[in-house]
Amino acid sequence: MPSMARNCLVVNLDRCIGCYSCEVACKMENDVALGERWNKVLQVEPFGEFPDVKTYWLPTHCQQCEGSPCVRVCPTGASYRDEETGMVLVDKSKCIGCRYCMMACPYGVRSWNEAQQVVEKCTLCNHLTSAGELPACVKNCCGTARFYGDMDDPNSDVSRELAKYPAEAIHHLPDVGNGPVSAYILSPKFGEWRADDLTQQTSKYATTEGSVE
Amino acid sequence: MAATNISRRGFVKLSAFTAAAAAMAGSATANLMEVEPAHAAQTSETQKIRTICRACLNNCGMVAHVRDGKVIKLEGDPDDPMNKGAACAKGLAGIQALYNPNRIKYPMKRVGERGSNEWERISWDQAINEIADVMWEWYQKEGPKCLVTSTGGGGNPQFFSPARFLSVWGGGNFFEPGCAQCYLPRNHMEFCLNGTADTSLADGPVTEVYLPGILPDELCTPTKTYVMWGVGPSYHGIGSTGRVVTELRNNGMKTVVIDPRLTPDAARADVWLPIRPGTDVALMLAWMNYIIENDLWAKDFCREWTNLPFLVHEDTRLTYRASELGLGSDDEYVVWDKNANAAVAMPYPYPADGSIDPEMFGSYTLPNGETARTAFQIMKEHVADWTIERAAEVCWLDADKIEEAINIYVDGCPNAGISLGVATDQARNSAQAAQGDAILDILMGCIRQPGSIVQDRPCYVEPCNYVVQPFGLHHPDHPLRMPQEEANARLGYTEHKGLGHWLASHIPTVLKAIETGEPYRPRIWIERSGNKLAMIGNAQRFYDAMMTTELNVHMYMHWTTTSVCLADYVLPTAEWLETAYAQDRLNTYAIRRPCTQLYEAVDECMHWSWLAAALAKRGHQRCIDSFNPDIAGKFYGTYWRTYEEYKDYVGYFVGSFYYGQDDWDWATFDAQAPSEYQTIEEYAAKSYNSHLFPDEDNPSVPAGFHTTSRRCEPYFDGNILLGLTGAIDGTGTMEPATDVFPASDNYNPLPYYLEPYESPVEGDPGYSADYPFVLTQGRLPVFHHGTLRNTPYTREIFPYPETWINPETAREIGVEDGDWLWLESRRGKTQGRCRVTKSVAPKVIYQERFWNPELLDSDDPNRAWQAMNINLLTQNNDECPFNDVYGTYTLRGICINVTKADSAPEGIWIEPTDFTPWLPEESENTGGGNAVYGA
Repeated sequence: MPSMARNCLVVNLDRCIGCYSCEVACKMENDVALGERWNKVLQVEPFGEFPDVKTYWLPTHCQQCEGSPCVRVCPTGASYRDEETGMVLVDKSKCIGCRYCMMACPYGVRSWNEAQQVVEKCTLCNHLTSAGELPACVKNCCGTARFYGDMDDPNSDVSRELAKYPAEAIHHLPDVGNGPVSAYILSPKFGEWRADDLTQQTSKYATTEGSVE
Repeated sequence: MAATNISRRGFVKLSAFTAAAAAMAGSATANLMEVEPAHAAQTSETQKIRTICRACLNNCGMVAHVRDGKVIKLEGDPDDPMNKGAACAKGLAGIQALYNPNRIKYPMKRVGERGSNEWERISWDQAINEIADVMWEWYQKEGPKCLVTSTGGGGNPQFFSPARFLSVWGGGNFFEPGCAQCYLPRNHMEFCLNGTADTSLADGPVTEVYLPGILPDELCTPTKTYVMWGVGPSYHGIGSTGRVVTELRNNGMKTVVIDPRLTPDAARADVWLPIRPGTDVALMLAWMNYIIENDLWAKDFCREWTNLPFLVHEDTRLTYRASELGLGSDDEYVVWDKNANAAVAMPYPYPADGSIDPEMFGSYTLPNGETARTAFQIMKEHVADWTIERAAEVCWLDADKIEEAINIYVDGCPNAGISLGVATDQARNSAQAAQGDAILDILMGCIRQPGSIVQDRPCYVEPCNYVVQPFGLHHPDHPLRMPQEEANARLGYTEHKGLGHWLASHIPTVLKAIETGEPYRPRIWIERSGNKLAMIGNAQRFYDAMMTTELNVHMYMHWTTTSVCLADYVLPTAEWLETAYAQDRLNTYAIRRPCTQLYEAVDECMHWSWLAAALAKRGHQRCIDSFNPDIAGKFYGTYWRTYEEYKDYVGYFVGSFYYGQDDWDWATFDAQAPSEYQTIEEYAAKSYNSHLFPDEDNPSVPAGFHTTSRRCEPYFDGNILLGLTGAIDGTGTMEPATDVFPASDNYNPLPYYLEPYESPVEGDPGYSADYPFVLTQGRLPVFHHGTLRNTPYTREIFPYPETWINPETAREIGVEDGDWLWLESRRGKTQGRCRVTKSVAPKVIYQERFWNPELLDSDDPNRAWQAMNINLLTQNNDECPFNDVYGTYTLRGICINVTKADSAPEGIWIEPTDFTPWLPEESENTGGGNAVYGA
């Protein structure tokens, strides 16, 4: 079996400036409904003792998991992994709106399309990427913090960006056996990676234990 | 400006876009204003039009995708040298602003009581003529002083167009809520001291940071240290400024951020100093003291290129001229020469042969028996009390961190610098903060050096939109310049002469004149911006005053508090995607191409032109003259009868200023823009050590700096002349002005610290236990000033203003995350929603300006500006002294109390789906071209 590509997004949090451009670019490009976000920017609430506090912004979106729970639980095959690109996608014509996948996703990055009664998610802008363009969130990013490409291709934008950083600066969202492919870069000088103890309190902030008190 | 070549590269890159633009220029959907048949052709092909944004004043390059006359997609222009393809949330929201159901679609006239929100649609012809009738009536009765015009920074303004109208009108007052509270103090004062440029990153002059990666590496010295003093590039011109600072920081540039709020840039800084709001000048004085005491200043630069060694008259505080002491000529100064051990004339330039070796410090006895100190000695004594420890106590900072910050700055000098942001412009110490900023970079020699922030690259069309200029701005003898006696009568100008730099009046004095009729009563207010009631300090006072005028006219794109609550007529104005404009982007010149045209909206330059035309018909001679090319002149252009005439003027202006071509029109500009007007090498080199270049008029001497002494003037005695004579550029002579200005109090040549009038420090005279917390503000990345609160995708991100409270203070008050709050000052109270966060210090409260468009159609539209507007709390009354030079009132650093509220303000929208009614709507036919005045 030919090995499929592992296309995904990599976000360099050293460069993410919390401007929400990616959120809005995604919504404009994909006509995402109010209240839904395929890509949401969370701020990790400042932690540490004032004024020696650290904070960073954490855009979250489909992590293109190797063992994607959303695909496993889907009763109709609507959630699937594309053989050629490796992208985890939703075939809306097969979606019956049971929303098991939304419950299964450990990152809460699947959206309910109220109008169409189907589940949606980041498509890595495959209507653009298949034509050789970059996803809207990558193209418009104001911090040049977002990268798109194939993890298995050493010349892809994602591989080249990751190659600039030591292992201790490269992170994944918590892996509960689902094997997220997407990666994050956060250098220790800008903050300690806190994804494992994050609790999302509001639509914009995530707190770590002790970050507020 | 010297002629420059358009590079071949610029042409080649653009060819693909040019054809599309030609097909699209002025195109329209069927329901729009009349367009030329050649331009009305439609196609279902998607065309990509290169244009420039105006969601904020950075004017990033954008590509608009247009199909069937509709803008269907926006993205950053990858070929723009400053934003390089980035586009922020504000820019991307342009489509939702353009097609917003809240657009003002046609001229409307109030039919109910003022503020009742009852309107009837009228034609442009009726609107312009009825407004002109009232103007003409009051002009004949009371003269030009009856009129007040205003603008603002948000929402595609032609910044100087109201002042241009006043120059034709012949008098009256112009104001802008920024101005003395935003940018004017830095824009004016920093230039006066460093003779080069101000340091605002958001407003355009800081171009050096964009050169790495564009200028060949062997010619480029990236900035080593960048001190961002109240500057948050991630939250203002994000696609350009946020992007470039991120790039440099990740490539090793050290940063220091001084900001009460933990912004993204503060979070990434090598040192973050969370300064107490309103105390910046105290910290600057300590930096100056530390640099002087530790002998860190740039020796050669300060000796040869500043006025620091000049001897100063103890009584007048002016630097001596050599002629006063019989030592030399009028344009020479006096120093104490070590070689001669005597006072000698310091010629220009500094003698290269070392024949004069001036003492930098000390006190000396002059030939006439007077004792005089050097300017540097005066500065040294002036700041001597400002130890690091004292600043730490006043500013609520850690002394070691202050010292570390100074040393990071000093280590990077001279390839370093400080940008001062808007924060200090919003407190009564505004002029002094601008002085302090300029002085620090001068002391360290960070002027016109590779990598330094202060560079000598004048841009004539700055982001504040200067293509349209007041008549006579640069030509005192222009027949349409505002007559001097009227200019001197501008309200508040006598006391705050720095306002003259922007031809502006003092807002609190304008209000007082409306309230009291003293010294005269303005009757008519014509306003072109979004929400004065949300953006002006002490909003209730502003509302009360403006409810008493004879006529209020509002020009804007969207219904806001100004239109609904105060206006008698509203005039539809064009969004940026509908307008034509021009903007320099480093060494290139970019163009804003109209991508579509909706409703009956037109660019404000047409509103003002049509008013002038209507007044001309009624016999207003200056208005008649403003359409006469022989009187108006080519430089300023006549007023315009059509938008095509205006566009041709823009093309002419760009061609003549930047490309050395006198025969350009819009088509010429459009055919090649954007393109390079200089090579990047020329652009970079024109600033580095440009004071050493041969002087244009006298090549035997160096060009020097743009100051009276041709040196940097960190001891700015020009401030005294400014107060006495109104010589705003600091380059005037020592002679008093011939047209007699009433003297202001003398402005101080050196910066001094004023504790905020309302102080959170117990024991200070301004302290009150009833208002124990100090309030600051600051931008959010999805709004620009009062804009975009009604675009769904931006508003759903920040549906309400957050009240940031440190956990320690939250415990003290007894509030938790998500609680609704009351914020109350001596002037009023309003609401916000609690966010407990270590992003601010204990006792410091942060909340951003807000207003609620969803309440405009409620039973009480005034709640749209009252429910959650911290400008009900801010200050603009005489009770708190204004800044001496600029009349700045206090928006940041006021004292408040915070208590828990029972609930959210009634009727506000919070849930994302609440904003559904504001999603883009089809632009129905409103009557279009037939209704356009004069068409």
